[in-house]
Amino acid sequence: MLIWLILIPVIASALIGFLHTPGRATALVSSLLTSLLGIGSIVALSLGADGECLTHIGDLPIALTLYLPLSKPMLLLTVLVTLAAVLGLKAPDAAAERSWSISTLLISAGATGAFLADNVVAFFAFHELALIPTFVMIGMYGRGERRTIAWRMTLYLGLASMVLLAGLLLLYMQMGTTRFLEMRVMAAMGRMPVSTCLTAGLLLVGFGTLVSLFPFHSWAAPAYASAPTPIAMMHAGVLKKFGLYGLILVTCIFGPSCDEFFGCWTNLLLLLLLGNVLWVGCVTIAQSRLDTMLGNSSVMHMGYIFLGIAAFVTSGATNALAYQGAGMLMLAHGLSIALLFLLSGQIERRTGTLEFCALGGLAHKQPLLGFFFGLAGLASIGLPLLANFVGEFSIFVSCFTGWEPGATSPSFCCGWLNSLAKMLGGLGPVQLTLVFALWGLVISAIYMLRAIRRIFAGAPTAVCERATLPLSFAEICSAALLSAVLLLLGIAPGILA
Amino acid sequence: MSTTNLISSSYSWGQFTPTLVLVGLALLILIADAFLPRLNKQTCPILGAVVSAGVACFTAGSSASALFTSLACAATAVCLLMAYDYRSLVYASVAGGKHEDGAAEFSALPLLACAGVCALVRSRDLIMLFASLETVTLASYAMSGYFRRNQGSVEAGVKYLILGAVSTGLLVMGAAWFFGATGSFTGDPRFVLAALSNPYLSVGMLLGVALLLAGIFFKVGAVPMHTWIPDVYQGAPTPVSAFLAVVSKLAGFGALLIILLPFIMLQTTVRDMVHSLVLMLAIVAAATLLLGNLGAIPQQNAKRLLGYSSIGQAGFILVFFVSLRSTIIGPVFNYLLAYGIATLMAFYALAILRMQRGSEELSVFRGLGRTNPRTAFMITVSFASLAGVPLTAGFLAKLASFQSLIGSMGRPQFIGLWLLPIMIVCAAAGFYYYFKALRFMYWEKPQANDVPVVFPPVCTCVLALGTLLLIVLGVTPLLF
Repeated sequence: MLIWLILIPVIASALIGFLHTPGRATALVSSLLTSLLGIGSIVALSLGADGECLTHIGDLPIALTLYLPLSKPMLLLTVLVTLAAVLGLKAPDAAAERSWSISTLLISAGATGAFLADNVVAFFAFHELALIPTFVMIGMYGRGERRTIAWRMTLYLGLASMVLLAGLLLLYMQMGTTRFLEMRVMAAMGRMPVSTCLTAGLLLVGFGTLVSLFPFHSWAAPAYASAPTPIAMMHAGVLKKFGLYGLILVTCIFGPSCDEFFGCWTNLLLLLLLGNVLWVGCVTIAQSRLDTMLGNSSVMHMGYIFLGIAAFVTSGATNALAYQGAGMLMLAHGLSIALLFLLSGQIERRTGTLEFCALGGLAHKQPLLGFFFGLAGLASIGLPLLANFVGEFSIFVSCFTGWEPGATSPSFCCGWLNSLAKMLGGLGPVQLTLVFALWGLVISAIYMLRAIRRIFAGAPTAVCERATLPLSFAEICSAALLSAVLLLLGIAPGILA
Repeated sequence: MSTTNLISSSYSWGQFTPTLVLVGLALLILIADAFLPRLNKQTCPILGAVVSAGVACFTAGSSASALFTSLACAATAVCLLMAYDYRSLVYASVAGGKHEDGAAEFSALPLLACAGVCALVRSRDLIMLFASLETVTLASYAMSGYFRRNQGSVEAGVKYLILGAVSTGLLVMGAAWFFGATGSFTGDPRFVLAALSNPYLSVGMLLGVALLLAGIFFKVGAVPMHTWIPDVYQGAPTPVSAFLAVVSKLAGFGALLIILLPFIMLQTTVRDMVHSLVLMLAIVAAATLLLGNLGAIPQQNAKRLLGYSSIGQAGFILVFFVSLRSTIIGPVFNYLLAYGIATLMAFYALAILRMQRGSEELSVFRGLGRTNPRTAFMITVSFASLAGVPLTAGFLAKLASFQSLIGSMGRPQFIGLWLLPIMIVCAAAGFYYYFKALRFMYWEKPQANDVPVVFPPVCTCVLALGTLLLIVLGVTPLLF
């Protein structure tokens, strides 16, 4: 059953590639089918359907499962963003439309496979499958210095993949099984890798680079800015969540002993995520183009999710709020950044530019576009009633879950940090990081509100005067789909459970 | 000492049927070429390909020697098909295109070399091993220098001959020392053990093994015996480069397995000796990985790039030998299979491009993504498999190489994880240089005067079959 979630897009892209069926239409049929199938199987599972029938074909245990932590929300994210990307797809010519459709479908198939794989090798392999179309599309159709950007991304992610592969291999050879669910059982029985520090370090660097963890982030923003719209949506929205998903998966595998597994790396992760939130946040403020700003903002928001993961790890995987918050923010960020890239593509198609200095007053000509952009922008800075708020707020609260003033002695390696923490009422590393990371809210409000003002408010500039092409039905559908889910999850986050 | 100790007596004629068939066919082609002036020379490579493909099918089996024989014969068949599509250049270079005299030899030589490989993988003593390995090598000398009018080809032939002669010398010297120390050519563990327990003899035997390995390293292209590879691959006719890259390498790894077999069996008994052997193999593997993969990065000539890459791939295969277990035969074969299919595809496409676009630089791939999208896809799969992209056979092969290193953690002969970062860097470097060809195919627009390249039907069929195999071999193990 689940295998069709991967087979349908693969078959559809083969049809487009080899039989030259109309690109967008075929992709649309395929993504509608996978959306129905994906949402259907999630609903069926939560209604108590027999999970076995979802995970097995005959006697062969297919290495796909919905029983892993977070695989359900990630599947939801994948099918929704794919549908929106295909709906909003608008290519310059027929050949580009075919290759964009194929790439979107292949990324979607690869991401689905990675999020559902219950087997280290399939998990890694599907993710790589999804990465390749990204490189090719940026190299072929990207904007600006497309070759340099695509090449840098290929090298960064190629090296990261190899580091990750080594980490995953070390993990599974020391746990004695390739299946995540079995690894969890082994870990619960007290089995730990021998070379914990090396394994955890390789995993952290490998996954971290794929998620653009500071300081391995410099590939991300230019790549998103350069990629064609559907590719940027799929990569920033869906595929990048793979690394976070993997880290949470590893944490859940080790359960109570995950703190011991990650050990010394947790404090380093806390330091690096501050780099994401504060450093990249400031870089984002300095951008003068919408696409690079969105790319950088996506890198910045990864910091919060890493914070949620760190809180989850230090609590020994007992902090349910951190887990839910990270999961919710992954979903919400994926939806909101995909929506923002979609809208940025539509702005560029109408005005021909994404420079802030050339844009202005677009809301007069394009009120609907302004509405959607405002909604997406406010979602991404975490306004209440939108899904991102639920995720961010849960993460912030979870950092203090189980913490009592002065109850735990701070455990920093250097003395002055200890005394600083004591002065602040015995804050631990996670709490202290949160204190700094909260400033990210201010930073993201600055750049996002300023972007909305510069693009949509004021008197229309020359390019915006000419932007009279109305939004097509498909474009409205695609933006409305993502906005509606963002609102729904913001108002009723409980439906996810 | 009876003669049974000198060489193995367990050979039977039946084992050598593939060798005899191939040698017979090669001789038939040579005689026909000499005595039938009206013979259509184009039938020779086709006949050779059909027969060696037939031999590949008949010998297929599950034993290591059957697997290696089948793969060698199948690869030879592909090389002969490649030679068929390459015929216009063959004729032009042999006699300036005026007549076809001597062109049939070009089909007979690969058959002879393949016959050597078939005998090699069945050899149980150093005499047989040496004789069959020399059959492969001698045929290869002639092949790589076959284009007498082409300076590059002649240079390749001479280089290969001189360096090959040195390695042959090392091999003979090694066999002599080995015989002197153990009193046998068979590598029987009992004799090896007896030699090792004597301090004087053990030194001699170690020297013998080191010399033998040095000779074999020449065949597989391992550092420090790798220097011939880029030059010869670049200079030799493309079908011959493909043959050297696949069949000759196969022969080398087959011989390596045979030579190391007694130590795999003895490793619990003579720990110190085996440990130093493992350490040496690990150092050679690391050097080969680094030199091959980093050396490939700046290359602009596609054949030279494939040459360096084949050194790098040999490094990944050598990592299997570092764990020195009898279970490595399967993974080594799988690696050679994945590498062989993808390399043959790459060379085949390159041979056609060389004929139609007249260049061997990486830029011949330019714009293929637009002019020949389907063929470009198939070439993409082959390069992706060489780079180790998941869902292709090459990925699982590389994965097994990583696994064999990590899996030998905790074993007494474990040399440490220091090889792991080297492998990571080299695998990532592989992405860089293999994708360079893909960049030319997809990111460069075709030039104004570029017409779509006409890939002959044979070539398209081989490429399609190879693509299918690479994907099937790469996907099916993941599902079950």
